[in-house]
Amino acid sequence: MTPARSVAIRAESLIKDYHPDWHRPGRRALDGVSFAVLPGTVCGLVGPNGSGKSTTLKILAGLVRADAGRAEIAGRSAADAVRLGLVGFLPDPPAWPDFATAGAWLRRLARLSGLTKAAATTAAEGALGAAGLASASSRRVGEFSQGLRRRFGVAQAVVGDPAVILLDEPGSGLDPRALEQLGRVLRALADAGRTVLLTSHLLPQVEELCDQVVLLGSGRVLFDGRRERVAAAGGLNRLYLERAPA
Amino acid sequence: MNPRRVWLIAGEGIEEALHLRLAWLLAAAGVGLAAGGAALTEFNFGLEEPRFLTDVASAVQEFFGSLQAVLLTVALVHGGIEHGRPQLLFVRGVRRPEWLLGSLAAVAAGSLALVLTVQLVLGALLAERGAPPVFGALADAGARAWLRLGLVGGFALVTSVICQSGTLAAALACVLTAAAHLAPAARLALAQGGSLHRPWWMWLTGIVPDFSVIDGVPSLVRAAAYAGACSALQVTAACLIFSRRDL
Repeated sequence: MTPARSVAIRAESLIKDYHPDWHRPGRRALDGVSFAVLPGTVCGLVGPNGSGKSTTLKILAGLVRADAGRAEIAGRSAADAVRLGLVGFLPDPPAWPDFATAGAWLRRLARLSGLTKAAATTAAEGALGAAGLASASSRRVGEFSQGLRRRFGVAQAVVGDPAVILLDEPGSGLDPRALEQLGRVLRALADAGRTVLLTSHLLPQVEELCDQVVLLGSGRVLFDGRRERVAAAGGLNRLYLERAPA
Repeated sequence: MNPRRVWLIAGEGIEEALHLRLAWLLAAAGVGLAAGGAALTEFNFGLEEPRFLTDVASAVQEFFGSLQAVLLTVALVHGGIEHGRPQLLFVRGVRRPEWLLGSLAAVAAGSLALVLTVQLVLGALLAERGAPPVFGALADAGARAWLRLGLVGGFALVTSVICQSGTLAAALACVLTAAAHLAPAARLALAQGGSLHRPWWMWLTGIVPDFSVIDGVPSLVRAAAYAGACSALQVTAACLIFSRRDL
């Protein structure tokens, strides 16, 4: 097993049960999910709907409590990592106030992270620059196209310079050009030393972008390997169709 | 609990509330009806005009203020949870109680704005009719009304974190508000052997704050202490329930 300090993200035997309520029956979302992601890599979490991708991400972001197992970010528990500002997160669907300008909203998030006004302004500008949105600071979020919104989502996840960035379906609804731009942004973040864990249904994008792929199905890890192993298995599409439950 | 973060969240909540048309509509209706109280004098059954105007103003302030407090809280808290807004904040280290408290503070600011406007309008109306208002009396009435509206927001805070539906959360908060207003009457009826023997009603009026205490105690400080204690219980209950909820 890789030592805890040398991995950026570690999920260890995660189990999560959603209890029944008036709206839906109970179900086991995660059934012993374990994987590790090294620093400076982009990891794709793929799998059918309901396979546990978003739940895994939310546990790592400290938003959902696992019933058993351990979620670690940079050797710390997920809750501690969030408190220390080590985690950036893009939920799906993202919810920003449409009336706010991009710069103002990022400054607010940065200030909530504990930065001073001046530092928050710098952090917001840096995040917008990293997402390729430097010129959009004074534009209202409500005016953004789908592609800009997704990139803005990445910007809000990286504001404050977290070590680990968790993105839930960042490429959803994007056209090929916007997808390619988003991929470049994520690759640049990984090259700069950040660790990116994203969920996606866009297998070609994941295959092209990600250094590591984790395939989930029915709350279990069906495959976990580097890009070379995916290629050796005949590509991600084949791997998915062969292993993921219908 | 970090007061700076609560302050920032309250600021965000106020900004969001300012963009909600319904909040403006309710405030405008309340202030408009208070200002138009003089036009309703044919419904004045023997009361002196200043007293009648004061009664109309406090009634519309209570009604529209309660509706505004409930709907704003549900929009900020329940709507926020439903749209995933707190997820963006909680990964920034914001704690759940800070978000709830900040949201409630934004609602309280909205209620304060409504109460202040209605009291100003009432003061101007009374002055225009040759019955100069007593500033102390207006301030006292306004402060007590604001304390009650704060508790109404507290009801909506609790129901917003419990209910899966915003409509249900708002409806339940309205029921609790009605129970708090009716609690003294219900207790009196029970004491006099009235027909309100239903255990659920006794239970309901037993767990909600008694709004008549806020009006009944002569000291405003004691009224504020009572409302503050009840509000603290509401926020604690909401925090306990919300802390167990997966987002």
